[in-house]
This record gives sequence, structure tokens and C-alpha cells, in this order.
Amino acid sequence: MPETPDPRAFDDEIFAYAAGELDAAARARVEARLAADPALRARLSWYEAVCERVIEAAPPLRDLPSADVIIERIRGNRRKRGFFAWLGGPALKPAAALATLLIVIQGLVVAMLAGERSDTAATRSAAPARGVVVLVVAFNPEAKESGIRALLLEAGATIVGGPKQLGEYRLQVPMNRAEFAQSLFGQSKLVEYVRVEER
Amino acid sequence: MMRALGIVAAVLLLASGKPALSQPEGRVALVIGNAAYSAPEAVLRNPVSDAREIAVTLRTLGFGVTVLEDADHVAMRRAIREFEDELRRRKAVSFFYFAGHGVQIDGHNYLIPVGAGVFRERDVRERAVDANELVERLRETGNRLNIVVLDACRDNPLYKPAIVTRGRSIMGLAPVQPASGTLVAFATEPGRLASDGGAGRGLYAKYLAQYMRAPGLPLEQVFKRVREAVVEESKGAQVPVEFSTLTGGDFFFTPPPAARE
Repeated sequence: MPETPDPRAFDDEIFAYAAGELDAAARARVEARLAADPALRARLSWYEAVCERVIEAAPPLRDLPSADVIIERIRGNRRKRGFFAWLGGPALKPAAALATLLIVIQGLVVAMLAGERSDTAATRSAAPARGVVVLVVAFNPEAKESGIRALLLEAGATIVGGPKQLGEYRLQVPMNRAEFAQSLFGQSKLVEYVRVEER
Repeated sequence: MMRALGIVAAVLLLASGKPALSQPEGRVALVIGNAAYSAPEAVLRNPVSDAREIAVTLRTLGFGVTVLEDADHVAMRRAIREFEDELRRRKAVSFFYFAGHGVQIDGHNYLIPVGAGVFRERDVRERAVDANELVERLRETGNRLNIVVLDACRDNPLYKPAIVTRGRSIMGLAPVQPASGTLVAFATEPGRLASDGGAGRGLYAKYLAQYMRAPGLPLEQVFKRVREAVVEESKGAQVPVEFSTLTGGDFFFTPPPAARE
């Protein structure tokens, strides 16, 4: 897979050039690149235009009406009263408030009970055992399961959490193998990301 | 019981607030603009230019900025991980901006990478970035303040499947309950679509870039001003909203004049 250029390095240099922040040597380097790359020149023109626009004086802080007022003014009477509008009536307000309070309390109780379940992924991933290090590892999506299993075995790692939506697993490794495991994962083509989890 | 006490203690600690920071703190931003979606009818006009404008603005405001343009899933997840790593190292104020297509499924908002080819619910879960989880990941970095801006409620003509009628997946984004110390801003109300804007410039990004530069406007006021301006210019068709759990001292993109001297 071709290496994607680091967007930060690229943009920082062009930003800095457009903003006139580079020293003579750096300017010369950028200008050499610009001379050889029409696409880069177009990009620079764009950045210069934007820089000019954003460096203009900040907008005056007008006393606009609030968003609610504007919305109401524009939408006017288009919005019909909802079916539950009668709940807001003066006679029912205390009852509605009490019912809401009860619902909130019930919700809190349910949330606490749910939090105490012992076999959720969150609980399993919360507290690593002593004498171990937790690595956060994302495998290459194209990696085969057999390859991942072999890698875990070689590293002496056990999956204790995950995957997250972007694919990271929490792997537990004995402390005396942590450095080796991190290096192994870092060099493997099956792995696209690895770091040691902070305690 | 101890867990409940811990939660109460944490809430009290947050409620007690922190004093306004007197020293400048680090600022790190990840800005993504996705426009060149594979299918012609899904291509957007403005996300890349919006992302550039936000990126340039942030940089002038002292943010270290990473910009991704037309990023695929690999580039997005790599950039997000690097962003998190930097936040863990620096404990800086974070700013995440995404312009492009976004959809919601079961209350989760997904940011669509370029080239993802998402036609079904499963595609979205596997090949897009879950913004709700992103918010949680940023919180886990342990920094003080996370600002997440989703200028991503633009209509995706490819993703209008039958699940819409089942009420599980609908257009626009879903409301979020951000983790503490987080502000999540949407370019338009949950469940509604944002305009891609006129040629060259999205409405929301235009005003966000402007008001971030207004001296002495606290963070929440910046977004309030943006909302007012967008509502006015769109004649009420687009109403930006924010979900915030911010506490403590104010954050200024551009400090008040006295503070800068």
C-alpha cells in the first residue's frame, strides 16, 4: 500500500508560507516545490485567499434577536399545537412535574442496576489484573484470523476488551513480556496501531 | 453503593467549577472535509473548502491543525488515533470538525468516509466513523475541553434504504449526550438536513470561521452567534444546535483584547 503523505507536515508548511511565517531557507524550499508543482501553486492561492478573508476584521457583534425569536418569526403559525399540548395546561402542570420526577428516579435506578451487571464488555475491560500491561491494538482489517491468533500466541497476549468501533482491542500481556509484545505488534503488518494503555 | 457515591462525588466536583485559565493551554485540531464521494450524485460542493477555511482560521488562533481532504476510512481512523495520542500527550483543548455526509442509525451518528460505499445499515456501522464513540474517545484522553463540530447533516442520495421506514435510520443526525467537558455542535437540528451551501462556501462554516475570530466571545457565545446568523441567512431553514456539558471557566477562541496584551 503506498504511503500517504503526512497531512500535518504538508499543510503546516503551506499555511506558514501563506501566512508569511517561514524563514528564508524554508521559503526557498517551498518556492522550489511550488515552481515544480502547479497543483501546489493552486492550493497555495486558495490558502492565501482564505487567509486574507479570515484575517479581515472580525465581524461586528450585532444585537440580533435570539434564534428562538427568529425561528418563531419565520415559521409563524405554521407549527400546529401537538397532541400532548394539553399536558402543559395549568391544572395538570403539578401532576406532569411529579410524573416526570418519578420517571427520572426510575431511570436513575435502572441505570445504576445496569451498571452493576458483571458480564458486560465494559466491566470486563475496566480493570486489568496486577502484574500485566494492557496494550491497545488495532489489527489490519485485511488480516486473517489465523494470523492474528498466531500473533497473539507469540506475544503472550489475551484479548480482554473490544473491539471499539474503529477496531481497537485491549490486549493483556504479562509485564515481563510487554516490551517484546509492543515491539512485535508494532512491526507486524497485521497491526495498524498499537499503544500502551495508561493506568 | 461505592460506585454511586463516586458518581455523586464526580458530579459535585464538576459542579464546583474550575477557575478560568490564566495561562494559554495547548490547542489541537483535526479537520476533515469529505466531498468527492464515489457516486456522482453523492458528491458535495463545499466540504473541502469549508474544512480549509476552518483549518486556516484555527491555525491563526493558535491551534495545531491536521487537515484531511476527501479522506477514506483508513485515513480517518489513522488521523483520529493520532489526534487522540496527541491529546493524551499534551492534554490540550481539542477541536474536531467534520464536513461531509453523515447519517444516524439507532441514535448513533456516523461520519461517512470517501470511498466507503455505504448502501446498507451494516456498511455504515463497519465503514463509517461513529461520532458518538468519537466523543467518548476524546473524553477518555483526559483533556479539559473537547469541541466537536459536525457539519455533516447533508443529504446522502445513496443511503435512503428501507430501514428509514422502520424508524431505525433517518436523515440528519441524532441528538447526543456528550461526556463531561464536551461541546458537540451540529450545523442543523437533529433529524434535519443542512444545506451544502452556495458555490464555494457552506453557510455554517462561513459564520463559524467568522465568529471564532471575534475577540472576547466565550465558546458558547460563538456558537450562539453562528446560530443566529445561519438562521437569519437561511430564513429559518437551517438551525444549528449544540449539546454541551461544559463546566468551569470560559474558553475563548480569540481572547478579549485586555487578555492578549
